Amino acid sequence: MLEPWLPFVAISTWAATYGMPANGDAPSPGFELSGEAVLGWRFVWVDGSRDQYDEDVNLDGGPVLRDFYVEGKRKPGSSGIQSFLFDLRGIGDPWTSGRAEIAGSTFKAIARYDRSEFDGRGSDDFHPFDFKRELRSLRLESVSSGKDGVRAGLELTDSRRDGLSTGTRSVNFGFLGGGSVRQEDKALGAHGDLGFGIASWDVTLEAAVDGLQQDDHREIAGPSPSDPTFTHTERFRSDLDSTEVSGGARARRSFDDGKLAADFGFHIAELQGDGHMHSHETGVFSPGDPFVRTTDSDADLVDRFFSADAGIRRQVSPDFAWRARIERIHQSEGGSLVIDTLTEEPPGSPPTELVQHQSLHFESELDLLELGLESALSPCTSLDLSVEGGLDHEVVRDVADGVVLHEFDDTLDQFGGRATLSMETSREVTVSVEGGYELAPTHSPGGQTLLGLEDERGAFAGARLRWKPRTGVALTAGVKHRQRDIHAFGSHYESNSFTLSGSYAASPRWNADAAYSLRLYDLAADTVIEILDGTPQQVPTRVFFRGVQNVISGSVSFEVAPCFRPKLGASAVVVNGDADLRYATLLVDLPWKQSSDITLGVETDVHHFDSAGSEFDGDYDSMALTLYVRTAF
Amino acid sequence: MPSTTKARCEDCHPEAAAEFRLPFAHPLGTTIGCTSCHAAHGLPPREQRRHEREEACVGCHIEKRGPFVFPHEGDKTQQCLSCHEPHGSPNRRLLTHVDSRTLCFSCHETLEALHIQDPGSIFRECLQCHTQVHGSNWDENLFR
Repeated sequence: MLEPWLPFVAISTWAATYGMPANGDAPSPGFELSGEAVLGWRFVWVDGSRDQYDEDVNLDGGPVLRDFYVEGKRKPGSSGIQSFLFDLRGIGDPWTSGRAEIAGSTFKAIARYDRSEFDGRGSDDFHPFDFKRELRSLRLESVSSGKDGVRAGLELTDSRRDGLSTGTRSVNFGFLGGGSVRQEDKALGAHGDLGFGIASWDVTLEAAVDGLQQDDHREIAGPSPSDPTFTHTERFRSDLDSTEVSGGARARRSFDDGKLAADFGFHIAELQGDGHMHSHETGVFSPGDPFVRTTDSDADLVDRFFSADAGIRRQVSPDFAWRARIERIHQSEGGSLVIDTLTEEPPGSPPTELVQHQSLHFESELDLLELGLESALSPCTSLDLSVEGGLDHEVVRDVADGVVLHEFDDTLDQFGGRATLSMETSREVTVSVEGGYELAPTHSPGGQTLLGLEDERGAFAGARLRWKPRTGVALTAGVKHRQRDIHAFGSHYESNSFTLSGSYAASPRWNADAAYSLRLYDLAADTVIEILDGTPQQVPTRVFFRGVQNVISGSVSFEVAPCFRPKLGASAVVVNGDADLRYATLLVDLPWKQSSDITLGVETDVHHFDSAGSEFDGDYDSMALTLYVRTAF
Repeated sequence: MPSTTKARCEDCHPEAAAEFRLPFAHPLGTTIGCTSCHAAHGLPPREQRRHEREEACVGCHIEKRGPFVFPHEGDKTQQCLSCHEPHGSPNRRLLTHVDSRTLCFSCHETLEALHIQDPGSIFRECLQCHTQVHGSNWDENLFR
């Protein structure tokens, strides 16, 4: 396994070894070093739900390395490595990131590491789950200074996710709870790109290989829903390996002194997956009717994607340009599953074997045309307009043991457009208005398989006013309306938002900013209520979900003395409607400069969460106090 | 090293900045920033939307990428955003609705007759049985 710090050590060693001139070389001009380190110790108090605090904030007490940053730039007059950088943040936090970089006149190497942890044990109707993610990457670049020179890059990525959750299992129209589920996912990737110039065209080639490995282990046991005196057990294990190979090319060129620009390209990808599942189950179909069931499944997946497009942009005059693009996208997704079940009923009797075959195939061919224009209507007013439309031919075929369960074969149109009008009414005031509309087919949710397609229509409109009376002072106000109609769901969604924000940094001694956001949203959907008392009835009705979000926040920083510049930040959230809650944060940072290189500080981070008596509580008050020292060099 | 990317984006997108101040939000400014999901200048609008819907989320959430024999597609144009608010939400797990029941119900408004055999399962906790809500390779009902 690749240790997370290995790329950093490798690059640092490389920088130290090859960045320094060899014996006998001219006297080293050396590197100019600069950097900063922020170290501290955090104390945490939580009153109320620790689980909810962990899910939302998740800061623990103990030592923290907030940032360690070193940058070196070689003094002029030497070849080889010209600069290096090392940045590490968040040791002691649930999110850690690191970056190491070295650059020469013709190359660059960048290593990255990201880690995040999540403790999902708050009060809600989801399974509690924890996970840890890690991402490592190493990118090598060859940099050319000439316009037509060759550029090349190679990036290697390694992503991992380790998840642990409390599992449940559907059994005989009920479910078992309390099981353990361990899911591990590993993804490895190699991405390469090559750029060069040929016959005045700028060409970029890309190729990638990505592999994904998934493992799922479950152990579940509990009283059987059919007979609570009997313990139902299941041991489940599955794995899936998939590999995706993709590539593409794009060429760009400008003609007529840059007044005409053209580009064309394609992208192609194929993914193949192979999975296995094994399950061993003991239970009862009904009281006194026990069974042992062993299931083995094999899954095969093949997904293919191809797109090709070409576009041009013509600058007709300094005030007017138009653009056009055509694109064809072809994608297919196919999955097949063989399920082999051996059942002993009662346990120890000769097993009965059942073999089932399922397959699901989806195919889409989409042709698109996009047109746009950019116009300066006056010296102070500009208009950007774009429309696109296309035809989408989709085929869906869902087959189980030779019987077609769902089938769809039709062509649907889709189109959309947006326009932005910007006006500078004076040197201080800018007004912009924008709107858009989109129509696309949506899969009907009639089953887990794809059954039909219906329209989805979305639209938005907004306006923004920005007032900037002088340097460092700005006030912005904006309104936005969004709506979406999904015919397949019989649903209508609408949201309206208003935001007001301002900032003041006209004096070097202090600056402040504040923002207020109000968002109103409504969702209505057609439904059918099942009435089960007496004779079952189905009553058509319409349901509504509504919400109001108020978010206000601000921060201020003031230089009390040359060595003391406190910072204060606060935010408050009030939500009503679909969810009810009050949430507030306060951040106070008191840095006290001891010298030009050393700063001592205290940072206080306060959180208040009040679920306002809703079903999912988890109220808490918390304070994290961090004593830190910042040293610059 | 100071990061100014977030502050620059907030200048023109205060409504997006407000969403990150909701109690359930992606931890902006830690391992992710605005440019983790958005191309600041580079992509045409349609390509940017496709990237946000189909690539930005699964870049980190690799287990949701699939492939799945039985995918739970969400609605066709919104993908992950059918159920999740990408920046922040007043609901846990960044959901668009207060709980899983109302979320599932917003699309699956008519339950299949099978649920009548267990009246308690109707509008209760959908995910207790449909555990693999993002997609499954082993069960078309997303049970496991």
